[in-house]
Amino acid sequence: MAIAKDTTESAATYSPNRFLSRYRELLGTGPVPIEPFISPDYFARERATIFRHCWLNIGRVEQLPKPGDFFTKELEVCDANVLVLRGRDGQLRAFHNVCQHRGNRLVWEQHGNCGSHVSCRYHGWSYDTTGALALATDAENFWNLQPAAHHLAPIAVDTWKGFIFINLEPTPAEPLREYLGELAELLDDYPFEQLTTCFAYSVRERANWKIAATSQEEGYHVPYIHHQSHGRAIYSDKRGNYRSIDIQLFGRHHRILTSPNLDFQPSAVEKIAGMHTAGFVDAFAENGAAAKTESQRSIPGYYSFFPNFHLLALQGNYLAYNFWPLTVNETLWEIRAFYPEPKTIGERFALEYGRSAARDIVSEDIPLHEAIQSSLRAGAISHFTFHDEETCCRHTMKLVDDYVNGAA
Amino acid sequence: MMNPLPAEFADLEPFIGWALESERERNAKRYATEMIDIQRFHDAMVARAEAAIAYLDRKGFENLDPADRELLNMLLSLAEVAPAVTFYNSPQVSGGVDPKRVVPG
Repeated sequence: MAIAKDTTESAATYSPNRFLSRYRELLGTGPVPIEPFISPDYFARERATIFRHCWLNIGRVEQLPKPGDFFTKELEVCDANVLVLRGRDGQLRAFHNVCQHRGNRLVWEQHGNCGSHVSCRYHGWSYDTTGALALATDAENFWNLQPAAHHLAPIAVDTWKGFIFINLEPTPAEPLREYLGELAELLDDYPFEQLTTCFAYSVRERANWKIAATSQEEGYHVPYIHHQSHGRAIYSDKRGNYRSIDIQLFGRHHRILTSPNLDFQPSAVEKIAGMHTAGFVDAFAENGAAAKTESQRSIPGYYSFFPNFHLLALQGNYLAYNFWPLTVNETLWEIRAFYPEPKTIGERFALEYGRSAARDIVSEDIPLHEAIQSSLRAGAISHFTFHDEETCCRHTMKLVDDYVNGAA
Repeated sequence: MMNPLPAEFADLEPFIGWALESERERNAKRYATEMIDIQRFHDAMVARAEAAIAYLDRKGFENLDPADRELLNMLLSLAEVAPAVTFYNSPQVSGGVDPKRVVPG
């Protein structure tokens, strides 16, 4: 496969502070206080102003291929348990997973197929797949029961490229596609629908969700903490400094375009895996000759959708991260990697190597997140000082602050 | 209970203990094995991996018998130990989190 060199600028011409020079009016250049990572009051405001207000990714359509298929998801940060259900009519709907008789949790399984109805195990009330009350048991012994008044409580739901998003505002401020904006358009050509084999991990981290999320939004750390793993395959300049191709902000969202290290020496197993799928370098490469459009050429990169949904969109596979706040000091980091369904043993082998490598790479990050949280709680550092390659971290902190302070 | 490997891969029999069905089992065995033994398994499998992949692909996913499945699971164990050999020169992720906290699913 022909791999184009970093085409935007040669390493020699990277000028200092090239991103903050572009974005300093929006983001400022100063130190960022650590209060947002440790303050219970700030966390309470995040819950109210961000997580009950923004579109949140909670799954993919492949989880619900057939009528009656459902999954449930506990969203601690929203105090909600969400039921996502594909109706008998094929329509995707989301509801609070709550029986409208006495408020019991309606569905207790994490996923399954409900057939034509879901029934509450408390008193047997039953709802059809549109959420309408189909049966109230012993109905004549309720005083003037109006079934229409007991519809499941709906939650706004929509999809983009097969990703399911919900919004807990009764009337979302804007439609999903508008919310995702220009950054989503840049992924219009990405073949998410062909990458349907998923492996998933989750880890409960003793760290604020923004420590976990912003740690992934910069490449400055890659040659250091990841020098043994994928740091080998990522471009750094002659002095060993990570240099992105570009960092681009799009409203609430942003992306980082990363170059491969063209001098990367794959190991024996990486060579075998690379014969059957996009290897480390191919995955990050701008595939010059084969790319059909400019947008395909510039796709491989890290896409952050505010507030907590990130996509590492590579050639041949992608990773999806969701950072779910549990408490001010605790986060559930969900990690999903998506591949084409393996058709051969070689592809199956390559997928398994991708899985063990990705799992081990995130395992390198987690202890740092927890150490940082502990340092912040100790009061041992008052501010973060962000590098130019950490401009997306600065952007995320500014966005959060704008929401929390009513300026978004 | 372990099955014998396909006859043409009988040379890999000493490593049959790596023929494990699940990622959790393969990861646990990696963490429980000395690096010198991981390296021996890795080197033996790397030498035979392309032949094993070609052999299994000739049969196809649908037609694997129990002996073939053992060989496939050994290939998946090679993928499991590859970071130990290539990245860390150690069974563990250097400075990494307890692997039991990174939960599949």
